Amino acid sequence: MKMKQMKKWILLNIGMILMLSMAGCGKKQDEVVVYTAVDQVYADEIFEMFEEETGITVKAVYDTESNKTTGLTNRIIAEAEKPVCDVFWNNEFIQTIDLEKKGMLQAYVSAEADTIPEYYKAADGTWTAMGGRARVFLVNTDLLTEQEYPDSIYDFANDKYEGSQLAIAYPMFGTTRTMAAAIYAQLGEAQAREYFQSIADKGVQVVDGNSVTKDMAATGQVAIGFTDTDDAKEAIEDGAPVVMVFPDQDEEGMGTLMTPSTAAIIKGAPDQKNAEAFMDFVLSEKVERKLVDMGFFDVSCRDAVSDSGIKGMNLNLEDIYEYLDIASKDMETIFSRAQ
Amino acid sequence: MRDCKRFFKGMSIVPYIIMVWLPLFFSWRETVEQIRLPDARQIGLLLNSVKLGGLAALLTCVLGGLAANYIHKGWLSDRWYRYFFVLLMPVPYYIYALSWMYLIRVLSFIRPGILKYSAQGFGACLFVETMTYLPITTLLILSALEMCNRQSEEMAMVYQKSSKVLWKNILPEILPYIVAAFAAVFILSVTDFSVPSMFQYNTYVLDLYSAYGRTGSSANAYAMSFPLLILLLLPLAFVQQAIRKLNKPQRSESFVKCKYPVWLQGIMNVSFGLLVCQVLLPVITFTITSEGMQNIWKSFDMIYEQAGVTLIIASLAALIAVLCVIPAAVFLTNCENGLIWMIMLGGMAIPGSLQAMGLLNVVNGSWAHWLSTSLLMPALGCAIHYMPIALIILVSTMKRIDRKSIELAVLYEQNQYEKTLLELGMLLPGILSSFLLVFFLSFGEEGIMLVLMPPGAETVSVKIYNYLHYGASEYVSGFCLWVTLFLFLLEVIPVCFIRKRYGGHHAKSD
Repeated sequence: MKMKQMKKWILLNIGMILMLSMAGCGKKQDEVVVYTAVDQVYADEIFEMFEEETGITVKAVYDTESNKTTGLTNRIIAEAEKPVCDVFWNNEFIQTIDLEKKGMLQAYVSAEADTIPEYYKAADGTWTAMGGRARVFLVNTDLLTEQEYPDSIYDFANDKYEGSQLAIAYPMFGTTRTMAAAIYAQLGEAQAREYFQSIADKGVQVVDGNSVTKDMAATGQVAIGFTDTDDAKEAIEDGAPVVMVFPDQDEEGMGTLMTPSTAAIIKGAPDQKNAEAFMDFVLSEKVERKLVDMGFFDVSCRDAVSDSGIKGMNLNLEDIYEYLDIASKDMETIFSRAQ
Repeated sequence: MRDCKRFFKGMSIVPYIIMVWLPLFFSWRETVEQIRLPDARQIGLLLNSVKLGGLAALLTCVLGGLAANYIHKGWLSDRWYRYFFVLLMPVPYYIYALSWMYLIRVLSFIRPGILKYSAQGFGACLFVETMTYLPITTLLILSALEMCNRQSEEMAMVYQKSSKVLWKNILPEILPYIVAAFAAVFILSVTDFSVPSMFQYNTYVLDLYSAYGRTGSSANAYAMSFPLLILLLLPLAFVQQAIRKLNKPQRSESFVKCKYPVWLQGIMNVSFGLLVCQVLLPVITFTITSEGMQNIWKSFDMIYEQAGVTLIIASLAALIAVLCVIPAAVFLTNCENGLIWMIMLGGMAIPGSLQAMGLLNVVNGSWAHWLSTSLLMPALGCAIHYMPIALIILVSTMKRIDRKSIELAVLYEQNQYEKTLLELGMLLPGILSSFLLVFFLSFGEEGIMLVLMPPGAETVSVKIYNYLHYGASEYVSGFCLWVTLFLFLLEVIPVCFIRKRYGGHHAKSD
């Protein structure tokens, strides 16, 4: 009986040791740790290309749209004393600039970024932007005729459509938050606040993320969803009865927000050499064009804006950042309230 | 000597308290400075949370109680698979709620016009939350019913109708469990925002996370969660009172056949039907929306690695939780101090992602920073978050142990080691239940995993959310099916183990 019990305990201890050893710790050689907010399906392909070309293994940490809690930036800030991340590859620029302001980034100017316009790079060399995704209306063609399509962001606030026909993601998170900050930078605080208040008062459906907006437009639950082009293209590729309409494209229009991705090396990165190698790779024109072909980017930042046919907002990225805090606070006040 | 023993018994709760509260204590000064009274808007959101949580808890208790009584008094009463309704419990709440959204899409194939009725607002949110939390209340109330004194129930039925016996005899006996179930669902509902935000119903926790995302300050987030903690003190007080009043079960072998009035039987049938739907409909929805066997097999190929990683993390989390909780449960079983109970259980009221960020702050600046590149880190985060729940289960088990049997057996065992083994053996169902509950909850956890996952590793829930965002809903459905099947097998194995160890008799009453 005692032998039987002892055997059980020995087996249990062996199991625990095996499990703990599988838990693993520490970093092996020739790896680079990348925290990325780029969609996993796109990021994985780029990582595979990098690994094939350089032999350096990429250890990725992804983010999800439904994670309203912290985002990768807060994790990077929490790890400031002993950084784990080498490179932060963001799907937008606001949080990257936020990290720059907090002194979390390290200056590195890649030779591959020579062909990227100067206004797409940080003045102190801490981050570089590439590519661009536009904010777009995804219109359900079963519910609206071409004459009824929207043409301006003001169509979300005026009487052209019923509130229940329109959907937008919570503007306190992600690229919609960036869009809110851009509108504040474009229109000024007072006018922008009034615009978003009108959206809330109208009863526009404010939902859980851009992909939910896309799903609602694609399935006909709403006539128009305000989302990003990468989400919109997924719906079109899936055969949904939808088209993309870029807002404010006429001569007097303000244009639509073009959101570039950004890449930056974290200050105190554990593996500086591999981090630089990854930066050189991801900022290369080859990778940028690959992401355009995959449908993640609408434009290459290396092309003139007029070549893409999309009119972007005439705003400096840092100006948009300046309005982030006030815009976010207003969005909480306007949209995070009891119905 | 006795004082020494008491001192060490008291000290046994220190590791538990440190683990649960350290992330908050680490930034307590900063937190205290940022505590503010909630403004009118935030009070409105708190009321929203209370309204949703209160009604969801009430509905799940009523429906769960009726369904549990149906199972207890009906053809399922002596079947081991009467606990079938917990099958989808480990599926993440958000994904489970999504299956109901997909149901509308599935129904639109039959009737396209149905899409006009988009699922949003308080009503839809309440319905889905009720279905999500129904297994919890049904499980608790069914366990309570199976512990009832059947002999006194038989005697009462000689003089009164079954319905009156249910109301006057059985209900008062199981009331502590119903109260605990109500409180548990209320706490879970109030601290979750993923399901309400899906239905565009704003709650306080959404505001909390929005502010955290904006400021990046965990101290600010903890300060904002204080109104939530105060709000949850009352249900926590009920939970700990209910557990303290638990008595040794008084089982009997007789089976009482009840005859309820038609209207009551009808309601019970409907409740049981809802319980079945709660499992069947999401599984059917996932099967249809996965769009074919090819996608289902491809989903397996895409998820098996993540399933392995999640299995390791969940197992480690359950192991850590149980090891920390055993000494705390021993102490708490004999403790009548309400304040200590509240300190031990209060961790339930803190949202998991906040605890995870606090843990990251603590670990990163310390000698143990190497933990953040290992699977131990998310395991630790999950263990800290779910320890209070494991503690409740273990204390409930300890209170139900027949101490006289232990004392009699101890007379023959001189060796302390043999005595400890004997006590552990009697505690085994509770230890196993705590382990399994923490395991399943950790398996479906997403927020904590995102914050603490080491580079290069990915869990099932993160993969599901990533592909959901990408729009590959057919693969998401496939992932959910495989997760359900995997967890079903993991649920069946302990049941078979218990049946083998304790025999068919145990299957009747446990």
